[in-house]
Amino acid sequence: MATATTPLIPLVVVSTGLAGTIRPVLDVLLRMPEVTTEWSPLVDRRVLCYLARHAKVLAGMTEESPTWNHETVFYPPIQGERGTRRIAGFPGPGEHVGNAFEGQLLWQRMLQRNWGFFCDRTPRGPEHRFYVEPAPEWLPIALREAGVPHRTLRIARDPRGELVEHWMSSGRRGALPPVLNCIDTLLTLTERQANRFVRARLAELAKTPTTPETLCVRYEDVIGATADAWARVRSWLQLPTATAPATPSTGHEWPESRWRGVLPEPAYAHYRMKMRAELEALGYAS
Amino acid sequence: MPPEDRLLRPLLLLFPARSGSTLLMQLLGTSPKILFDRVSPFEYRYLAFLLRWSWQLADGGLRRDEWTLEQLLDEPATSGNWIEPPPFPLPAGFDAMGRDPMWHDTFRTAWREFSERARSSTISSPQLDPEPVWYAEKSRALFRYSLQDLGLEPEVIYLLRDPRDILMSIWSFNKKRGTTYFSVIEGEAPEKFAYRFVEERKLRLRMILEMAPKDPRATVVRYEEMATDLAGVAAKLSDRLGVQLNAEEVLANQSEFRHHMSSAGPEASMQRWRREMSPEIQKMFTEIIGQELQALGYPV
Repeated sequence: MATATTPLIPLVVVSTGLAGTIRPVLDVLLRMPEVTTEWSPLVDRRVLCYLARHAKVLAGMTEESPTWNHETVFYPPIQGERGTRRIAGFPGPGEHVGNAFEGQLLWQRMLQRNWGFFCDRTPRGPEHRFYVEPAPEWLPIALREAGVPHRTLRIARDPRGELVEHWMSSGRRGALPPVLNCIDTLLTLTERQANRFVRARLAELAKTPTTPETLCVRYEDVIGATADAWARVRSWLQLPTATAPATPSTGHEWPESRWRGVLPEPAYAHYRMKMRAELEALGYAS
Repeated sequence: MPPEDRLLRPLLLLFPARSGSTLLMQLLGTSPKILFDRVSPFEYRYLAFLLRWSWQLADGGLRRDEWTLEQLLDEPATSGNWIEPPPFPLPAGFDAMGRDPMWHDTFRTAWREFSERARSSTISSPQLDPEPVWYAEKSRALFRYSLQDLGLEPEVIYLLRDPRDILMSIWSFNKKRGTTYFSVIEGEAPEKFAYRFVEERKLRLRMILEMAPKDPRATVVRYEEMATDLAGVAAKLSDRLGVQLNAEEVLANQSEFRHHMSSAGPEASMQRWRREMSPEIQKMFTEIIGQELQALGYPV
């Protein structure tokens, strides 16, 4: 068994998941000598997300079904056939898997242990203290439930810039001007974006207090006021002051000014009408 | 973390279908020192499940349409959602790098945790000893080899039955229920299925003939012994495992397992092939595995 060393502290970056948001933010964070990762733009490894999903399989029983039952558990995976490697929770009552012991469920204990094993086994420099990974909203919740000490960096972003970037990066780059001129389509899209998650999320981000575990930083500050954002994040992580890096230039940056020339006035007005308070609370001009 | 000696010792039952595995599990279930869920037909496989769960960390890299990074990130993390190995190349930490791969650490820990949790839940089950020693499971050779790689030496019981009677039992079982279990293909001629069956048995019989005698952790139990002298089998296994098995208790409860049987009783299920098997298929057995049958003491 591997020798136990101090586990790295997960630094979970929760954003909207757009590459254009993740890359510049990670570019800045990874210039901190204390931060390491398995993520890279080309190899999008999400080790911590995977370990959490993997552990959660032990979170309880699963109803037996024709494709997953005590009989299919018995048939081992077939070499080269990934479908046969598929598993879900224990099929059946699963008393000894689902019950708590010493106050902890099996999945919680196994996530702690697997994170420890991974840290023990991963080559790292003596200066590395944090492991950064972009993650969905559920990851910090799972880590908290499992008792894995971590930090959550929540990235707020102006939804208007996000919309335009998303629109452009989804294979429609050449078609952008005519599509954006089709106001009905755009309004439908902005409406959907606003209703589905943006407004609620922005409101939540605007209210996020800074705690030892959580910090909310604006994407636009990371790429536009990098030195300040860098200092804020380092101070929150209780790391000594260090020289700030240059502004990121990954090619994915979307500063606030960039979308202004692209988003037509009706869409702009739509945002202003729908989420003015939330935008202003985060310092975005409405 | 529990100490090493509190780990439940795996007791694996390696068996072909219709060879008396349920009867043997009933017998093992008479000892409070042997833990497994007493739910007929005794097929809640915690060990196989935890091994397969740990194996997920041994593979990665290829994304499939059905299992993508988006699914990993977007679907809620619950026990009801499928997972597959990581949909990205494995990081160095998961790999062996000159030592055990990470899934070994994961399984060892999971087994320790399972041992403690299973022990703690037996406290509320008065029929089980609060300090069980063994964990029994109907298993397969692959799981045994995996445990050996992990340094957990499981005890193994090879269950042996005359393959000609197994074949008759399979046909009778399927006929009784209108099913096509045990790899039977619907519409396939009996001779064709019999040929596939005999070929597959040859390998299994050779394994028992060549490996079991040299294997200090293996015991061979014959179905025919269980059918005629269950008390003798109970004594042999009790001695081997250091427990007290109770054949009388099993025999007293036989009526509860009537639905699992395909003949009038254990004795009627022996040498059934002489009465019911066609001469052509009998000949096929003699030609393909006659030597192995004779070496194991079955008449040809």
